[in-house]
Amino acid sequence: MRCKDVVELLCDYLEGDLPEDLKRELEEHFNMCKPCIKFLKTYSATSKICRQVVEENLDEECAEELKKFLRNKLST
Amino acid sequence: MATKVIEYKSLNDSELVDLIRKKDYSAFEEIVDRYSPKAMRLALKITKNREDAKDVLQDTFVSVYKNIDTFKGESAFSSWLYRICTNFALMKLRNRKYDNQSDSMDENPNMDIDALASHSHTENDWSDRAENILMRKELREKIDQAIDKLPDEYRVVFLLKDVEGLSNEEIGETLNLSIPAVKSRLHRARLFLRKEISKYLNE
Repeated sequence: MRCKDVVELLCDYLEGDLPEDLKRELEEHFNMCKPCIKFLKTYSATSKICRQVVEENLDEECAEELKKFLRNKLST
Repeated sequence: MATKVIEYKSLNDSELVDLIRKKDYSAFEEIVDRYSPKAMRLALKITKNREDAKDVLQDTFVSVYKNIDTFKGESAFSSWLYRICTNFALMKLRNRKYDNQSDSMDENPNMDIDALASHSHTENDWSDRAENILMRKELREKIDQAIDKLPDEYRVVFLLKDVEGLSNEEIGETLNLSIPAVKSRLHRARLFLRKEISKYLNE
């Protein structure tokens, strides 16, 4: 398995969607290839970091203005 | 009055949905309180425009109220709401593209898998420094900008999956995509963002 093939499989690997034989082959590659281990770790960390960056941008003020609009539109 | 507010706040989503079906407007307002900040965040991240995001938010909650009977409870209520919000946001994007053809056509990043997948022995492993990375305001801003740089079709999938936690099936249904297409877009989005973060940390 080449490093390029490893990258192609990362999404399925992390979701547990790889067939057992392919998963084993991938993990054997990880045991021998430090750059790919680093890639796996940083790929996996990317989702977590980005989620936290997006999550902190919450606009708590928007609810009041929206509720006023919705009361006019929906509440009879 | 105060006890009423506390009572609604203590109800879970499906209890509130049952009350909304019976036209309990206070239950609906509790849903608005509970989900509008998150829906606004999603709408803003998809449209990248505050006025458009406000319109999307209004359309989303009007639709939730009017169409509550179509929610069958097969998925989480939050997923149903985010799907409605995403569809209105995508409609905004499409309309904007018709209105302004040059919009968002500039600076389209390279999403080629080979370019995104390259890695070397010299690259840093920054995965255990997540806390440290998030403490740096300028880095958080750069990551936020990197997400905005993603082409629309990749950004939406990334937001629904990695931020809002929808399943691949739910994303596929929302965007009319096959599961392999959802995974492919998600994968490329993550690869692009990984490369951007690596770039900032190696600067």
